[in-house]
Amino acid sequence: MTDPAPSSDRPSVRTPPRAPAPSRPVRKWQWSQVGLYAAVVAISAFLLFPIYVIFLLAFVPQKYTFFAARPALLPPSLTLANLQAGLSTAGSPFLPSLYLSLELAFMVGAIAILIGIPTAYGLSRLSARLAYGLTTVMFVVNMLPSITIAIPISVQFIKAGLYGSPISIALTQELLALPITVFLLVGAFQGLPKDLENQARVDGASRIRAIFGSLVPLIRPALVASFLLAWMLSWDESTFALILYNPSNPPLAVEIFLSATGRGSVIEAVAFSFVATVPVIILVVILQKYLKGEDLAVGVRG
Amino acid sequence: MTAKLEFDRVSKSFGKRLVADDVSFEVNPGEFFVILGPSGEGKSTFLRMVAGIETVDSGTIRIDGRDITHLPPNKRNVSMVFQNYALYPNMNVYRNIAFPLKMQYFPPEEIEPKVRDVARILGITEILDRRVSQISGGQQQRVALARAIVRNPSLFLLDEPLSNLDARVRFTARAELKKIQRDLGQTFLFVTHDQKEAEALSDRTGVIHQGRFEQISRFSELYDSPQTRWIGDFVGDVPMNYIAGREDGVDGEVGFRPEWAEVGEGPQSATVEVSERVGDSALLLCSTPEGRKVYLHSLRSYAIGTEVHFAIHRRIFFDSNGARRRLPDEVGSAGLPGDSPARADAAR
Repeated sequence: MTDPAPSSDRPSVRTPPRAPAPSRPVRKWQWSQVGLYAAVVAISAFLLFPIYVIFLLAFVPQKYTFFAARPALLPPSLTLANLQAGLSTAGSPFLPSLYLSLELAFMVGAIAILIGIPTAYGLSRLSARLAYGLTTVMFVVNMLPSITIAIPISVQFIKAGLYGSPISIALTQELLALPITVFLLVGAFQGLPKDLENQARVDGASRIRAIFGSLVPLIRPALVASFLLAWMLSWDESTFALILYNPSNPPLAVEIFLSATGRGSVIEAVAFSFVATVPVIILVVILQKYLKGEDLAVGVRG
Repeated sequence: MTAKLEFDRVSKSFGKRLVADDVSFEVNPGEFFVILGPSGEGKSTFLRMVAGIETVDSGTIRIDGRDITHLPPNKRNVSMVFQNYALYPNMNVYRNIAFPLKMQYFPPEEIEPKVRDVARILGITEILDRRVSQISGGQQQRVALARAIVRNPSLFLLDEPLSNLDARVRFTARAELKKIQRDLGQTFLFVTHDQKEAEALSDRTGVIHQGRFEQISRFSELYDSPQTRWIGDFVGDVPMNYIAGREDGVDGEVGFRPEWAEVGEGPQSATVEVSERVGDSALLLCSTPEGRKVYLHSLRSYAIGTEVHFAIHRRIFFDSNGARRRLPDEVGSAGLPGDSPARADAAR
């Protein structure tokens, strides 16, 4: 990729002659810029402050925070004791909960992609208006308060003997994740040139192979984005989980809630709620390079 | 493996818009057949119906006598080059060309030599590793063509493949395409709105208008011997000239090309409105006493407003419906449309 095709039919883009640079680059600050940055800092501080408080509670000895008359705003010293206490308590509920939450999140993400691709492909081949209408209908579940849906669903799961099983929580959370996934993927499919699929079909691909061989690789950024969204939605979700969980092994969000409201140590719960952000960060870091769609722009002329 | 294509009473419409109206025609094995028509006539739909990515309302399409009307696209063994080339943007050039072979489950050791072969023919060996976003329009067109050729189909469908190229590249690509078709000896069905392409490439051209072929013939016959007034208007740098006439007891119009008339002496007269030099002669746009516009060639320019006289030495008569009506004095050539200039002299 040293030389991007300098052939006769593509006029080479020449950079215009540069204006002589000023001898010393002087950056003048405008008052409006100062105001803008001040506002950015203020809003960020406001939004990040609760997370900072959780950080303090999690990693600062309890005498400075929980048991102090005036909790320290700057950490006098840091400790892992709170976290260790949470882990080492006999029969600590946090690690199994962490595993269960990971299991649920990956299940919800995977099911969202598996069901989302065929659903979105089908919708994208309908007229845009009909596709839009049907996608909107899918969001009805998201519009209702979770609790109104959770109870009838629990009844069904009890009848089916699935109550308390991970799959029952995952499938219920899927109700929230799937519409978003489908919405994102329909847009991605609609954005592809229709002739790409036609070309694959003429080139000898069956419909399934045309979809998975030529279209799905092109919507990879949307797939990654919707997987992440579904994953995080499950990771955070607590209403369905709270109603459907198995008391011997609740998901992490539920376990933190239970611990913080009397079943265990508040400090340990806070420590784990901070730990709970780590998998999200790791996942985003791993997947973010796939969120770029650098190869999508060209390839089809006209 | 060169195939014959048949349309048998095929109809197709999109809502109220009729794209194919009971169309029957054949493309012979090894023939370069061009479907020519103005934009918006649904020419591409014909290719899409052959490829199987558009359904047929009624009628039958056959390849080598086999009814393919309702086969899925991947079972038809035809190749298609789309107007926008539809290269797979996530694959490099090599994988684009290899794609049809992969879809037919060729083993990898057979794919490689085939891809290299066709890349050599089209002169794109050096760019096989490039991404398709990194190559020029002309190269993209060749990659699309290579991908069509590599699977050795029975029929090639090309949908205005040259229209996205710059003028100079288009010229060389056109010549290259014709050479490739000759070398392969394959049947090509090619759609364009560009008369020059049809003239340069086609063995036969079918002119489509309102869902029907107005005329299917060699391109020169479209110009020299249009079967309808509409063809006379559509084909040529300037439309055919028409003056009112009555022949054989029928009222209608006499049509003639600018070069079928001679300016100087003659029974007809017209007033020069525009005089434009073209090479070493002039193209005159004139107005007849009845108010008709006619284009005439002359050896010299005239001042605007000059009255010129001209004689028509070859003419075609259209009845009031715009259909050609053979004149008694051209009976000699009636059996063979596509009069040569020599025959035009005889008709004088």
